[in-house]
Amino acid sequence: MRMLEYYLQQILNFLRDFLLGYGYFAMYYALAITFIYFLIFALSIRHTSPLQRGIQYNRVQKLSGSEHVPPVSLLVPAYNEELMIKENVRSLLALNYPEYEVIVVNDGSKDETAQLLIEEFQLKEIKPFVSNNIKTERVRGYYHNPEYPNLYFIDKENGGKADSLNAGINLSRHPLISTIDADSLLEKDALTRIARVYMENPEETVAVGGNVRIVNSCTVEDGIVKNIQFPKQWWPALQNVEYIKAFLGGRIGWSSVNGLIIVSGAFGVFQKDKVIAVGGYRGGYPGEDMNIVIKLHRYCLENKIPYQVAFCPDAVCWTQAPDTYRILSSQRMRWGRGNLKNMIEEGIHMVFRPRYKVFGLLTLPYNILFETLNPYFRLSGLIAMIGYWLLNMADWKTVAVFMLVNFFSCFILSLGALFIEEKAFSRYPKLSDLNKMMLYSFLMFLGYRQVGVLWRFLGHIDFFRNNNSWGTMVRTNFNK
Amino acid sequence: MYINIEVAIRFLYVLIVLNVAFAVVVYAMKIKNLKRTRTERRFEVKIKDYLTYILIHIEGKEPLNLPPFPLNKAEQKAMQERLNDIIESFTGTAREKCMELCRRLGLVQDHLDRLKKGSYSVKIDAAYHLGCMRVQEAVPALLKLLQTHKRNSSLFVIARSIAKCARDEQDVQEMVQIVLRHNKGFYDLLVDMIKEADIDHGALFAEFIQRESHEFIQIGLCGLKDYTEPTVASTVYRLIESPDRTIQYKAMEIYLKSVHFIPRNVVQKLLRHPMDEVRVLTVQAIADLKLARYIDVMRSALLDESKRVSDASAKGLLLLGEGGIAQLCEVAAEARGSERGEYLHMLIEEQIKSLSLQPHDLDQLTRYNSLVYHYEKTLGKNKRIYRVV
Repeated sequence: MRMLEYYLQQILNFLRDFLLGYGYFAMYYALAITFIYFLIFALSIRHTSPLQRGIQYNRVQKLSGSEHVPPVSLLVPAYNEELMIKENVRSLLALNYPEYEVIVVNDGSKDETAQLLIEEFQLKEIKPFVSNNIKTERVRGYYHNPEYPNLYFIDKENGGKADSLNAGINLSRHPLISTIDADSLLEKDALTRIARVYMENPEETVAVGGNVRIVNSCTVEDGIVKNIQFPKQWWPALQNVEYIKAFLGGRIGWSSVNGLIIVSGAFGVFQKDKVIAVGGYRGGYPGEDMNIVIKLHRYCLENKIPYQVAFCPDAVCWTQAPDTYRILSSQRMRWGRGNLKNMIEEGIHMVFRPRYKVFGLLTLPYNILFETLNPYFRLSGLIAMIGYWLLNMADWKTVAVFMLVNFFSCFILSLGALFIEEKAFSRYPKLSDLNKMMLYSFLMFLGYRQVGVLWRFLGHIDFFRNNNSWGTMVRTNFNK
Repeated sequence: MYINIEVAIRFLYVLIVLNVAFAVVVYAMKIKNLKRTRTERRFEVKIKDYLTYILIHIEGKEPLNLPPFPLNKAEQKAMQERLNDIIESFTGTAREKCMELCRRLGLVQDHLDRLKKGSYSVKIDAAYHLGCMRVQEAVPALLKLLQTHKRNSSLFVIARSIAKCARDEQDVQEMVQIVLRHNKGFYDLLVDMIKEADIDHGALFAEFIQRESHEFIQIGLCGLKDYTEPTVASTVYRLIESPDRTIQYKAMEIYLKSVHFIPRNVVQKLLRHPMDEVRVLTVQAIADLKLARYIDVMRSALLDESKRVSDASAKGLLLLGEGGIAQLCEVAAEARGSERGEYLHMLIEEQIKSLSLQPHDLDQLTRYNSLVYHYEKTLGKNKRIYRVV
């Protein structure tokens, strides 16, 4: 009996020591992540004024009529997009931009996407010159109508979004390509705004990301977002504040140190020759938007090519956010899988290697430790909390203080993002919109962030099970 | 586990204070923005009649009258924005009258003072507005500001303002010289700015390409890319043999766009160029200029190693009349069985199909008849594929 007590005591002592060690580790982990968050937010806020001046003092309207802005090929991959494709293409054909082409790629849709587009724009099959820079699935046909000289349509076998983008690149004629999701709407001057950023450093700018905003509850007329409103539904509202925080609070800062790891698939512009040089988009797995940016960083750094991955927050693309738990969880699990795949495929070869500069020494360590591995630390933290409680290692006061410190240090970052939004953009016109943004920034901590961690973890499980499907996707009209 | 809870609590208090302060700042900004929007809307109603007056009398001989009401600071700012828009939309006398109005409103002097004494952000704001109002006396101060400015978006704001205010070519050249110190290949942006200057742009760009500096040559070529006068062709001709590939290509592009006749030796030289883009451009230029004397050259280009050149010369031959069409069908017949032959065959059939749909256009109808005739003759078809009534 004494022996048993002795061993039990030994086990308890070991557990206590282990939990104590874990506690120190978790504390330094939290301090490190908070430090990086604050650093990036400080950089974002510091760069808001120069950005604001660039936006305010450049007459974009005049630039959109200039013959000196670079021509762009817009690539629009479409899979089962029959509900929105016509409106989206019409809106893209009406952009304020001097020279561009729209290449819609039907990725073997099972619905009427191809037929609808062919009928709507009276497209006829053509035999254009197509480069074979990147291998793709078989193309069934290329379509065009001289009455819409800027519009091309590719009908191909299903091969995924990356494969569609690669097919579009092969057909494109211009030196810049822009990727746009078929469920998103570009603001009329978005391309000119990105072109302005590109024109200020065309030799080094290999990619420019646009800002993605949520269109749910806004009024859309003729493909133009007319009445901007904060989303009325819960899920889109939570995503709205999340997007503002990520794009304005995060990406402005990361781009200022050339450490941006992702250019959103919904809207970004790339130098075509560099995309071809890295072998085009990686097919067969989600997360192709992050993958292409990592490959561009790697290619330029390994070949000592001066380069910049920029972010243009005033170039806005409106996208439909998932409005149900099922679709949102599916999207986030897909993002989790894509992130893990990219880190395993590319990240681990570059992380902590001085050769890859800021990207290898800051972006990737941050991404691997605080994004990819985040679910494991969170879940283990939860288990440790239970352990502290069971072993009387922490009282409620300590737990409460640390939870509040965590909450307020995160909430101030949300406030920082709202500060940037108000200072430079102020896109939501009503005071009540700001109240809602404040409220949802608070509500994010009550379950949304936690369930986000769970989705990412489930995404990793899918990855290890080799499930690389796109997941649930339901399309609705813009004015729903 | 040792935790200094007191330190944590103190840190928590600091965080709470920071959060509250930040929230107050955000709300204050929102309220300020809303107030500004309301003021602007009210002012828009107030100046509606006055703006109508400006637009009606802007082309007249009389100078524009000042607004019949006093303006406070916010209203002056809103008025400045409207006047900037009007200045940008008009040229000539109308623009000058509006610029004069800005002067009499005191806006010019106000911004000149701000440019001299203000903080950095005030200086940039003043530089922008002085540029909009084309204030020539601001150029020396703007050039001074540009000299010490680092490379970011504001650098281009100042540079554009200098171009807008420029008194002569000298000012623009000085601006270009300073901006080129940060050279990152932004030639198109510079050209876009230079075109805002009230000078002879063509002469300036032509002068740039005579220089030894690659940067100036690049700017000159970017600026001349839309000029189609034959004098431009002779100006850029010497650059066709430049060792720099980019300069060479841009020069050829301009040359082929602006030339009215291409000598045979130049055609032959360009069609031997290793870049297929250059060969395509040459073949297209021959077709556009309807230089039927180069049908033989176009015929050879049909068998070029690049499919794009072959395609361009096939389409070009169709535009060179009966002779061109005959040569196209002949080569297609000779190359029958080969990949190129099959391609030309398909192209001819597609052209017949497309031309058959345009019987209302006499030129296309003539081309269609000629093409069908030679197609039947050389490729041995017995019956017409499409008939035109």
